Amino acid sequence: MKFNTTLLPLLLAAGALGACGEAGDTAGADTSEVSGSLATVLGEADDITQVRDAMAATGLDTMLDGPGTSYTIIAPRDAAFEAVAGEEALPAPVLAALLREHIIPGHLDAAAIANAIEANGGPVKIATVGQGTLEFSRDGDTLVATHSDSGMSARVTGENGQAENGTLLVADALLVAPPSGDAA
Amino acid sequence: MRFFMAGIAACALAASGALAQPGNGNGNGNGKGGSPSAKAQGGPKADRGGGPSAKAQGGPKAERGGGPAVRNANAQRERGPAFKADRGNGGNGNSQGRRSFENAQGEQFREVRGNGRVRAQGPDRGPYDDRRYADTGRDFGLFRDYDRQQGAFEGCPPGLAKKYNGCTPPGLARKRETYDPSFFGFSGLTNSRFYYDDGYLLRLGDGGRIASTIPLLGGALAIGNDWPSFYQPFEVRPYYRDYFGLEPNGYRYANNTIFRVDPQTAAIQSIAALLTGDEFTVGQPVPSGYDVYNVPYRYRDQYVDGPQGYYRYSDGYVYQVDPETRLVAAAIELALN
Repeated sequence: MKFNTTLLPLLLAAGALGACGEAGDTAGADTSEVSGSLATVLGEADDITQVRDAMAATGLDTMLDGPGTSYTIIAPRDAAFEAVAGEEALPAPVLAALLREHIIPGHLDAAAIANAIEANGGPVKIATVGQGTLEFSRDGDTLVATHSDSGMSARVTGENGQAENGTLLVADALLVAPPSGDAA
Repeated sequence: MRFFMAGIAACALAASGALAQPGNGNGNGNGKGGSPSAKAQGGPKADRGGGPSAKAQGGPKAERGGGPAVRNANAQRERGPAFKADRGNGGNGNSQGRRSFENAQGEQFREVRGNGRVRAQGPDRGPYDDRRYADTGRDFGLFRDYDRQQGAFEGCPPGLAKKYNGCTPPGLARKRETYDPSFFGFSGLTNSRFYYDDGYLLRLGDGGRIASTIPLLGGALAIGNDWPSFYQPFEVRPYYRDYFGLEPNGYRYANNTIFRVDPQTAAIQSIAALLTGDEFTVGQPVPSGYDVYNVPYRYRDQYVDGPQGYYRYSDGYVYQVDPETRLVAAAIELALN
């Protein structure tokens, strides 16, 4: 299995040109190469072992094959995940809370987000199944997500796996950090 | 499988879909033959128990758009589905009157049994009946109520006294690390210091005794663990039982999460859904965070953004939105094939 890592800039360029028609038309998602479950997509993607392990450790992976579910997962690459959350073994509930900030309801993909930014004339907001909202903007041809609570940003770095029940977006950073343990 | 995206093709797809959807928005545009949403296309939902969603589907509100499977948040506030007397999971009665929750100022309120929510569930229920959480599908207020009132168990819950040395965990108070429950989705408790231990957030009171306990997703609420007996059952709306494929007494709810459990033992088997709890109300603005088309793939043929409306997915529903006013026009129940 291969990710196509070269087409995203083209997609974003297409969005910038308003190729999908009138402003307000945010339905620009490609569904022509959608197959399988999100669990399969997650399982076969490269460089997101840490996220995959965290999904398994928290049991959230059991959700990905269930009926009715549709989620988009923003998966930080292994190096990024380890840099923030990998120094010590985090308790599974901390991992679960952290993952929720990276999971979005529904079937999103980079092209649809880029189109919406274009149509909106600026950043767009996307709710997570955690506590926060992600604001997506563009930096050149790259999508950048910023978390409303943490202020942390991640760049969607090109891979875009689409399954019948969701989407995988690989990013170069985490959107929230685990609590330092002295929050109160 | 390939992960391949073609932007031009995507646009073509969206455009053709829009053209093919002239009827969306006037209540009958979803009836494409062979689509997966057979239920939404006109099958009466008489088997759903007569809750408000069923009323909205077949009643006079159906003309608001979105087809027959429309949940109208303004539907008459009637009682929901009949309550099942056999939903008990054992041990639920032992926490009656022992709950409290704190508001953002740290003030503590003791639950008053027989308050409005309980009364709403049945006029013949006395104030000392078991508290029941039954979601009628009207809104997500009950989900929030549950998390606020059930999320933190006041006191040391049954079953944990032994585990925590008579509810006075040695050494826990000397831990430096404390956690803000809001990180885990429990807001309104932020003035309290909670320690983490073995899948729970714990707040200590006088003498180092456990004063509040919050079981956490992935921890105490991990797969394989028994559902905490001090959490009351939560009966989700009939639509969710269909949509997420939940068996009677085979699920539990807490913390915006629906868990599948063993109907006999209440052992957690899997996560059925993570919810946002975002409130979409017909006639009201779309909540923040839905700027991008996110309809699940399998329903994209039916719900395509266009001049007549655009569509957003949240927590099992597709919501039709008026593109001019940005107000929610309809809440559409989906169906699995």
